[in-house]
Amino acid sequence: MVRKILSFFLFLVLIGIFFINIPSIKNASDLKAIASIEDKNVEVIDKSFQISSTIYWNRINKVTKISKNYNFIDIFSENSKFSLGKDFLLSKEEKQFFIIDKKTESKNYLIDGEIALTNKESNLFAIVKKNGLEITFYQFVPLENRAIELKKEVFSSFWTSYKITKNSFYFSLMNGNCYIFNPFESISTESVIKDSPFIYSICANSSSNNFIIISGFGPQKLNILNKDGNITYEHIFDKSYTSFFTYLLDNQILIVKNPESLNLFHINWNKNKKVDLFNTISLKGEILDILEFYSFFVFILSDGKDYQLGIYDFENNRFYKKYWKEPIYQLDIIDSNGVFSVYNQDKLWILSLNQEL
Amino acid sequence: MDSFFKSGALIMYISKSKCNIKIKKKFYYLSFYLLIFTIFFFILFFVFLQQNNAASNVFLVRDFCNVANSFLPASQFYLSDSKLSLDFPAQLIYNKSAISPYQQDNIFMNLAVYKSGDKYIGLTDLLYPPEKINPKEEIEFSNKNISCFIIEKGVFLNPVEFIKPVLSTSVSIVNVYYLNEEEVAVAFRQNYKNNIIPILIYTYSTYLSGRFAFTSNVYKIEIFLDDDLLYERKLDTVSKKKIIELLMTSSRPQFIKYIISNVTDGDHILKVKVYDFYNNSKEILKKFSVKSY
Repeated sequence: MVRKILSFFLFLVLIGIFFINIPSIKNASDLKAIASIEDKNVEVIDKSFQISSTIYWNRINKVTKISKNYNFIDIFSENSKFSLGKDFLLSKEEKQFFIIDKKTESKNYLIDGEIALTNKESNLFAIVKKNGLEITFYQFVPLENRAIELKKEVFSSFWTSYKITKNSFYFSLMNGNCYIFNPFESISTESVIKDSPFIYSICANSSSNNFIIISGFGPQKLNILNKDGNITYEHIFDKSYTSFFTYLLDNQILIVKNPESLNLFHINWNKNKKVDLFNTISLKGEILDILEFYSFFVFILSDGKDYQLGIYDFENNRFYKKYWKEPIYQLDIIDSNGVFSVYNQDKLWILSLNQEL
Repeated sequence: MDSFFKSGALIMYISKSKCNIKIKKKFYYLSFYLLIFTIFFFILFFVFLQQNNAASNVFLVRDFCNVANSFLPASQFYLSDSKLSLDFPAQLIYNKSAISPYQQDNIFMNLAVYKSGDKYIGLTDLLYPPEKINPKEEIEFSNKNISCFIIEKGVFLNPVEFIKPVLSTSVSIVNVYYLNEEEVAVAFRQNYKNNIIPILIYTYSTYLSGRFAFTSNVYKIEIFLDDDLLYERKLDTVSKKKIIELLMTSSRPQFIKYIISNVTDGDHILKVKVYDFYNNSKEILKKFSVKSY
């Protein structure tokens, strides 16, 4: 009898622990914009806020520079599509790519191509030809106001995902190969991942030469690979999905978004158990953009109909989400203290995590 | 006692020296066997090299992957009613749609990849990508222009055998050039080995509606030397290592580069014939003379 009471009591304790640890999901109804900008009409909600750095608002066919006191300058070309890098802009006009220095706004012809692959945090970028396999890698040199061609490559297959960090390029190819190029350490390899004929996603950060892929099906696997492309760790998923988004934060937390849920892993590069799942949140839709602060990451989630802003707070292990009435696609850091912009082609909002959360 | 010790030491010395001799003998045997193995492998290696050289009389000089020329591993198809019936069962393994207008970083905005046996079939613009496709089942597209590619063992295959939309196509050869653009005999100078003639085949193919250029309908190439079939090849593989066929964009011509070797002195006729996948064909004849110096 005593045993039964004890086991029941233990059961209650376990249920209690389960409910205490369940992620708290609630609307961040108190997260309000500091300012909203529609075309060039500014609505300032918090008048004490000053723009500390220039905002580059990519509106696809033009880039609007917003500086202190909400001054606007448009960088514009006929029939152009813009992409943003750290210190540069790329404009595609018909099939010609031009590189524009953010500071001087001087514009130089670069190359004919189809697609620009950039990262807002990096001065590395790549231009892809129409066939999708011929890729030219570049590094933008801000002081010299030019892009240096680093390498030309012909891939063996189309890519499913890519990551450009501050020092490397990573591509996951459909034929089960990974391509890695680090121009600063002269690392350039195309590795074949054994038993994984299809790679869904690849991610890496600037603080490590290791990288992570999700590959195969029935079962799908998460693999950690070193700079030589050798698998050093394997984690098998219990369910297969047709798409993945992965992102490795600078604090070595891995975000894996499949169509149904958001999974957060601690990555320990040097320990035996390198991947440790610490939170799963049931969340449908795709991540459209993501940015990270010291103890938060912010992302835009959408299923094509509804648009949400998600915020994960590591210190309190809490997740917040807020439905947006209008479509939102892009995020940009304005201030590393937690001020960021959310925008589409027509409207931009400025938000601060510090003031409102 | 002393002499006993001495004799004992002598016995030990003798047994040691015997041991040394045995070790030395073993060492010599081992070295001998190693030498034999090395020679054997060298012979094998050279025989292998010779066989490879002997087998290839038509091969690629270098690929045309430069800024001006390009190849397309994915082919564009035009569907008259946005529907397609496939002959093979397939399972959806990858599906990605563009939600954001900022997503301009993929070759295909809406892509579904199906697995059928060892093959991966990529299709764009599927309206509702089904999890499984059964043979003869009709699938619906949101667009009449779709792109398709097939990868098998990491190599792109020509998708026309798998997906045959109702198309009327034509194929033609514009010209055949000798690569050195001089007299053919130049090819037989000292810097060329084994009597080789590099040629450039310049073909042109379009989808007859005139609106949509169709890049993959040069399906087969035959090269004849004096009516003897020298080479026949289906243009089915495009790989990084062996890019022989370069499928050009839209209605631009396709270049194919071959080397013909072991041609005897005298007058010859080179015939190049190209086919589309409905077996329409065109051919071109070139006369040339070969003279050894």
